Amino acid sequence: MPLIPAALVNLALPLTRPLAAFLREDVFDYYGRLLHPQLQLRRVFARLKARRLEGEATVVLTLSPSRNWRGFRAGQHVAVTLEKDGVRHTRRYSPMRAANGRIEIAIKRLKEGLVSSLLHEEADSIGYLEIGQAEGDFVLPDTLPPRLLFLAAGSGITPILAMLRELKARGYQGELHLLYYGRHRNQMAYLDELRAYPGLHLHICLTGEQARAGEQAGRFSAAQLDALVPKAEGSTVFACGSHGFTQSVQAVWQQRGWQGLACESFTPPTWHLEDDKPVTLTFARARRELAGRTGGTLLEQAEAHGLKPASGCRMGICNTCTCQKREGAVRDLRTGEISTKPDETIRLCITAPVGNVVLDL
Amino acid sequence: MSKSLSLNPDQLAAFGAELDALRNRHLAELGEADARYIRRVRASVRITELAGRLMLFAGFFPPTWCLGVLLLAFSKIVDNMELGHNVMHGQYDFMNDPEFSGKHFEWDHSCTSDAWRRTHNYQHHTYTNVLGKDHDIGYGTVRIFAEQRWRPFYLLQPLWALLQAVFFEYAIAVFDLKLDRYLRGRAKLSELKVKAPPVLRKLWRKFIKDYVFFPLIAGPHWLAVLAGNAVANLLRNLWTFTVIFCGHFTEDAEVFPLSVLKDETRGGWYVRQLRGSSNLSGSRWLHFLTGNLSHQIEHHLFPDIPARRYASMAVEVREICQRYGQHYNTGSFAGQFFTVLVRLFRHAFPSRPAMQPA
Repeated sequence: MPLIPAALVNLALPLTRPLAAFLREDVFDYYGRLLHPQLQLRRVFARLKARRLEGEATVVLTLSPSRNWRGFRAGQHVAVTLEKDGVRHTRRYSPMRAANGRIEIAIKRLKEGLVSSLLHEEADSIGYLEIGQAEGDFVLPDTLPPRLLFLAAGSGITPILAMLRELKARGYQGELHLLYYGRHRNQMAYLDELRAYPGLHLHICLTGEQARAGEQAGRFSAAQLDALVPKAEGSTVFACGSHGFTQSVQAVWQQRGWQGLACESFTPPTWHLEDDKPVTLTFARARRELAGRTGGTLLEQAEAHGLKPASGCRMGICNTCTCQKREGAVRDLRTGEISTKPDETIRLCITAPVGNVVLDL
Repeated sequence: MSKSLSLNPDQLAAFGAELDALRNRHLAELGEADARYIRRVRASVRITELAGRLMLFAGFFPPTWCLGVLLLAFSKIVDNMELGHNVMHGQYDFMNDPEFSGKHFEWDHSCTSDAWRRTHNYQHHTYTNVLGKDHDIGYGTVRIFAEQRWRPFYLLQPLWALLQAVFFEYAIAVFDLKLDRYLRGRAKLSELKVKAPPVLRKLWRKFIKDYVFFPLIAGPHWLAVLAGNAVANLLRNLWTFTVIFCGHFTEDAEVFPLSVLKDETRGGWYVRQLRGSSNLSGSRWLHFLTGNLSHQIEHHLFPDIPARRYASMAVEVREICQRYGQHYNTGSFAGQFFTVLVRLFRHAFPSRPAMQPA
């Protein structure tokens, strides 16, 4: 039981901000969390308020973030962190607006998905979750266009639904289409809410079972798009799903020379271990995308391109070149172990990319 | 003269492979137990600091004042050694916890953690006991190996060492600036203008905290708090100095010429770490209070493995060393420190290496 009530904490949080100039954040946070889990200088902890199932494979958590959270724009994502066996794991989910200033995140259970399994199975024992500030530019424009087309596959529905709720709140009057892809009808989340959404042209597309009346069958294709949305050209389009899905959408738009498509995918591209093949290295802070290869360390390759990440021993002992890998598969050259975890700490000098990698550098 | 056999390249490779295997076994085990341990260590630092400072607020009443000083000294020692030093090596990076991230950790010490990461994690741990590369050999103030060039300055080195022990925190803080180079005109003062401000800022912050802020809020008992903080800092300085001087300056510790670095293999690096370091044997409390630097050998072989594992790793390291004919330098705290003092007095005077290192 927290020693002080949440209401008081959230009243106090804005007042603690000036302290940041004098106090070590970790010291304040240590004593703060003894009093209340949300009493932190900058970090955001959200209280888990409710949990429900959507479809058969998605759990929806209702969260109440502390006042350190700066809010979000529909379509953005937040890092959600959970601890398992002493190791903190971070995954990104799209928050959606819920009643009373709360937010909802929907978590689809993945095979071998560590965090999604934890959130499905042990959600009842979680009182508070750490979340990050919202990030991402997959968001609605300030001035809304006359026609909007959404393409969602699987849990790609979550940022799209966040946008739909936002549109409803802003009283959007234009034309709205949604093509929603899923393998099985009963695993698709939020169908009831979408069916009841006023003015939405909802097209449910099933890829893993027979379509019933009013449903479509088969994966995304140019022909299907033309049949369902005759006025797709000129629409503002948001597509979210697996890497393969967004790639096939992009291909159609590219082929036809259409504009106005924004894509976001939530799975890393698949990779195959081969000796030396070209990959793309993205240095997020330097805003550079470089051609790399799987045969060398990330440190060597960054330096070969003229970047100067901090480095020391170049043999994995001194911890100077440690940085955060946002996504992608990498290999620890000392153990040969391959890791695909998002947001993990790596040492550049002993790590080689296995596929495309995004570094917080 | 080395007490260890010299190894041929094949033996070196095999020796390195055995240590790598030991390292990988422990890496694979990292998890819950290590995370729980370091969080408890942090809790002990925070709680003893709070308790110590509160007791000093009670004034010069001897029982509370003495206990307050001891608690505060304990907190600072554990913060610097078992917590800060080990966390800054990245031993707990596997937790992905920003509060235990080697790169961002800040400690209760006048030395900036960035300078520490550079001089200690990089220079000292990569070039351990290599003359001209590892500035930790004598810390620029004392001559403890015959291989170091003698200067008249060293005649008074027992006094320099004592001063360094008393002000160890500050000595470490300005160490990275290498002030002697400016005094001897070997570096430009303009360079110092760039490097000095962050160091001075941290020194000033720490000084204000212990000698202005806490005495001020103690009101009438300001002097008790001021004196208590000074004594706690002194105890921490003396303790850390002694432990650290026992790490690489004992009788059997070896130094190496620059030439060893040429084409040095992983196995060769391991052997150098082993021969340049020395352990202290003792109770669990000794290991805890030294931040497991009592297992200096294991720390130098595996600087990024959580230090709580060194005690169990030591058993295997010893066994491996024995099979390869490598001397495992260990002894009691008092015994090892005595050999350091012997070196300190002996090499104050001109001396020559017994034999050129192979």
